[in-house]
Amino acid sequence: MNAFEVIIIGGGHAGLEAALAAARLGARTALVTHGRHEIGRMPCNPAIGGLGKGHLVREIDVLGGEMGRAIDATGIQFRVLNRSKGPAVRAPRAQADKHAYQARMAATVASQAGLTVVEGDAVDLLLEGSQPARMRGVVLSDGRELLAPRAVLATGTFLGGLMHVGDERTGGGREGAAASLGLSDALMRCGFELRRLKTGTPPRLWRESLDFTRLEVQPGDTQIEPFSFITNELQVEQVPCHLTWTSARTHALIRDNLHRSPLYGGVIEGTGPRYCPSIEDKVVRFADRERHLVFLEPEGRDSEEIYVNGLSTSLPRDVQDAFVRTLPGLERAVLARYGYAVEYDSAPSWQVRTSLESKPLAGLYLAGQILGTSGYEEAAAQGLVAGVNAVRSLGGQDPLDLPRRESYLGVLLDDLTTKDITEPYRMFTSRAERRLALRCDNAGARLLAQAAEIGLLPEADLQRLRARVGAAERAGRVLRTLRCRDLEHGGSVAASDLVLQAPGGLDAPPLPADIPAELREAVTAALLPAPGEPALPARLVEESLLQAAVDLRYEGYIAKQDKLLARQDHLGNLDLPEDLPYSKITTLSQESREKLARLRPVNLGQASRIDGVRASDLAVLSVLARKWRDSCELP
Amino acid sequence: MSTPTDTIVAIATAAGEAGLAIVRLSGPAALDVARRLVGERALPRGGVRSHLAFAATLRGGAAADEGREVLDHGLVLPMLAPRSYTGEDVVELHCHGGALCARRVVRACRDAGARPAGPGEFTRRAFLNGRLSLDQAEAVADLIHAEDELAGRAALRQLRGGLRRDVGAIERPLLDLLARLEGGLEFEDADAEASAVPRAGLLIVLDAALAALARLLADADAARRVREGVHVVLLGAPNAGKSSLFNALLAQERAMVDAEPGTTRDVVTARLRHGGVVFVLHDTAGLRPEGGRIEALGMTRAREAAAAADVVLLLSDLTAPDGEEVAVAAGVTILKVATKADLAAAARRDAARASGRVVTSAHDGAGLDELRATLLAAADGERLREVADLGHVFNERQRYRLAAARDELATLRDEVAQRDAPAEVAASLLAGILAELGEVTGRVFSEHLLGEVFARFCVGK
Repeated sequence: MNAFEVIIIGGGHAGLEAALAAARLGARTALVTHGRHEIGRMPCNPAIGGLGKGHLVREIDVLGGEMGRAIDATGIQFRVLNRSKGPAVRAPRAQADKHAYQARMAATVASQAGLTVVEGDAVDLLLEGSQPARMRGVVLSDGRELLAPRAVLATGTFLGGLMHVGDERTGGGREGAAASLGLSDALMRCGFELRRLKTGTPPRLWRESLDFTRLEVQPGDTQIEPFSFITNELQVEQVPCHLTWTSARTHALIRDNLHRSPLYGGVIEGTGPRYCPSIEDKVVRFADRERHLVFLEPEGRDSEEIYVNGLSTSLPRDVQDAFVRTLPGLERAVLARYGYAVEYDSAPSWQVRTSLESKPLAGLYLAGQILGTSGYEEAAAQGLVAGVNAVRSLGGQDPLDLPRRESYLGVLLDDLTTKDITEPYRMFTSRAERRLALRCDNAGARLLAQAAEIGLLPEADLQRLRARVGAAERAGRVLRTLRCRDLEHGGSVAASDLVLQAPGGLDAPPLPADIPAELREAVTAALLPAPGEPALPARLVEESLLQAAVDLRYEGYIAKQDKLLARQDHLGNLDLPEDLPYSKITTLSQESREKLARLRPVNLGQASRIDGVRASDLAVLSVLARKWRDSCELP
Repeated sequence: MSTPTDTIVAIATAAGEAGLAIVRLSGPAALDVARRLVGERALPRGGVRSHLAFAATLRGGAAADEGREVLDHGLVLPMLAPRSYTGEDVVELHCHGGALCARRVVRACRDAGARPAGPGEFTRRAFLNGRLSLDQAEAVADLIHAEDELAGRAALRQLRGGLRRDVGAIERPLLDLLARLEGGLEFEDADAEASAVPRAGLLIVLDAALAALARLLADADAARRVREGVHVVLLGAPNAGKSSLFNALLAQERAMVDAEPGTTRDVVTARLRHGGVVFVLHDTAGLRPEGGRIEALGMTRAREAAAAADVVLLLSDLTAPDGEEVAVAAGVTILKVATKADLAAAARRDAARASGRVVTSAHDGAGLDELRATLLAAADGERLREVADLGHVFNERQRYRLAAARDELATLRDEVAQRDAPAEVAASLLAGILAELGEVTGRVFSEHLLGEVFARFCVGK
């Protein structure tokens, strides 16, 4: 009863994707969590998606992950961000009803065949063999032993979790939840290096204490773009968010109390995220700014709590009470919960391969915040990859091949294995060199092959994905090849010119209004299902057409970009032996030696992306790698 | 690429009859090899110390110490790793006996276990040991190729980072612009809107970068002239005295001179140093309507040379009737020169002077100083000196990359100004341009680039 094939430790966004993926691929799976009610919780902002993150959710969805479907089912406000900018940098974002989201995830996990939920606290690892040791199982705090040759560690902020509010310190992974204390020691015994990171969350306010007449309303989109390609159409009554601003009074209050902040009092040793700063950080680092924007986001449709996005803090309670009330509309605000910072142990990600299997301990995979990332979406992406790869390795299959030129998942995995991440890592679109090609609208086309290979999508869903990708391909072919009557000047004109020269550029509708009938007919025909393909819902047809037009409109730019990237591509062709003794290569700079020894890049291309590795180092490596491979000796 | 495990040797000074020749050893056995040449007893009493030269007798041959043949009395200068040019143990043997003696010292080093260095091998080792950046390595190549003090000065400046500094000054505002574009793309809120880059601001930064690149590239041609020399082609009718003038300028019998018209059938080339500038003189076949097949070929070559020249000397014979003006490609500086002044009537000479010709005689040297001065002015010697001082003597690879970056920047500007390219497109193109600029100074690595660089080294440096 205690023998499994894969054990997942942690039921957060990484853990549950890993658990569902492993079980759905047929592995006997155990999910160890502190409690069933902890599965799929949103301890910070009640939202999914955003720039870069929305891209990840679309990719997770195409590969058969759960996140996109769950947010479509439980979202209470949907918006596509960056509507004023080009299609490549647009992404969906939704406010979740966090209780509905969590309940749905818990129910999905509970009903999943082959997946056993084990309530308990994992405190130790069971190993076998040595050099490298192999995963054998997990010990719980009550002495129970669970056996499995593969495990995914997705502990979030729970490893050695320590919460701070002012000078109050409480052990715990998040408010109201105990920390996990034994595993850090177990990991260090296995040879893992651990590092303290820090993150934080803002206070929650009672809805009824806010003066909504003084707040700016931010409504959702009138037409909802769902996350999942499975979702046919979304019609939900949307709940608005609200905006307000900090003021000089807010900043003065915070400045006067900085000495009481654990962050500035030097109590917190972990490094926090630069891009998601606490309000203390903002006031100190952007001292010349007169005000900062604050979003008030409902935690659920019927929730009485409002999340104050932009006021993450670990100042003492009395200071929080005071400064919150300096914001317009919040004059009488009552805090339902106070903001806090949490410090936790992470295992710097150079200790995993792109499969997310750890280097020190074979069979152990890491995913989510333990690898130094931040965000539900980044965690879910890693959970999915770790779960799939754990099962694939059981069957002797190679890990998934997700190159960074094809997906944000690939960018994430490559960054994790080539960057020395010293602050919580979040996805940005600028992390993707091929940003113009890696879009939300073409996630299906980019990952169809991998989706089919992984086999997580039920056959009907895979067929629908094929039909969606096929429709865009056929429409694109029409736009590229058809010549039609030139209504304006007589003679004929290329359909592609009509699309490219439509006023509005990238933002023009996929088919301009005044196009010849034959073009409209040809495109409409191309969008119909091919023989054997299922019919698509209207919104997917529309999305296919949009994708075809955007493909065409970005084509020239993408080609330009790819030409530049191709120059670097050949570096990926020279593999670097895994056992290359970098510390003995004295011709490398000291900094490079240390970084290469730690990160152990797979090929010269990866090495070239490591910060601090110089051109001369790469020249040395290109020589020595060949010599080491041929003779296992260095000059 | 080989791996630097062995010890290499080469003559480090230029070939020729200089008073001093330096033989350089680099590698783990450099000291051992030197010890074999000077013998244990010649070593300083306190032991060999880095960067401290000592006098010694260099000996060769198989016999024991004192019995061996004396090659030279010289200086031994050890520079121990990593404080040496290559980052390895380096020993310089300063020979006083000139080139022949240096060659014998090299042979003795080889007998003692050193291997002759391949082209550019010292610099490659320096590069591999992290002692030089790529653009510095290229500057060394230019230093080796430098034909005169001017080019040498420019190469030295680049070695100190001149070009990198100038490209860096172009890169920085672009990087800043890219960061701001990215900021506007990644964050959707009023803060991001406030920091977004307005189109006018974008154009100002792009225009400034374009102008700076244009200035750098304008120096490229001057830089080429500093590096290769100023190409001067002598052009004129057969028997106009081209070869005589050529020889007179060089003060040596370089071209074959004969009274028979059409003697010079191929282009003959020689280098002339004057005022710190190298001129490459090209003597060509005379241009005339008739002539055999071989002569016609010579004339074609002459016209090609003239089209590629920096300066054309258009010769006319003061003793012959005026012929037709020879047409020369636009953009080439033309200096009109009258020849055979010693044989011509004074009236004819005065008329030639009045029409702007430099009147010369290869026979008695009249007018040659004036011609040299005119050449120096035409080559814009002052400008060459300036360019050299700026460290802008970039090679073809660097010029090509700069031109590519300039073209892409111009494309980006058009996309923004005319097609209102959205920020994500501008950011993508800008990232590409920065990569292009990075390749100028070698900040971005490619194996191809390395191959290109190392193919240009000669032995000894």
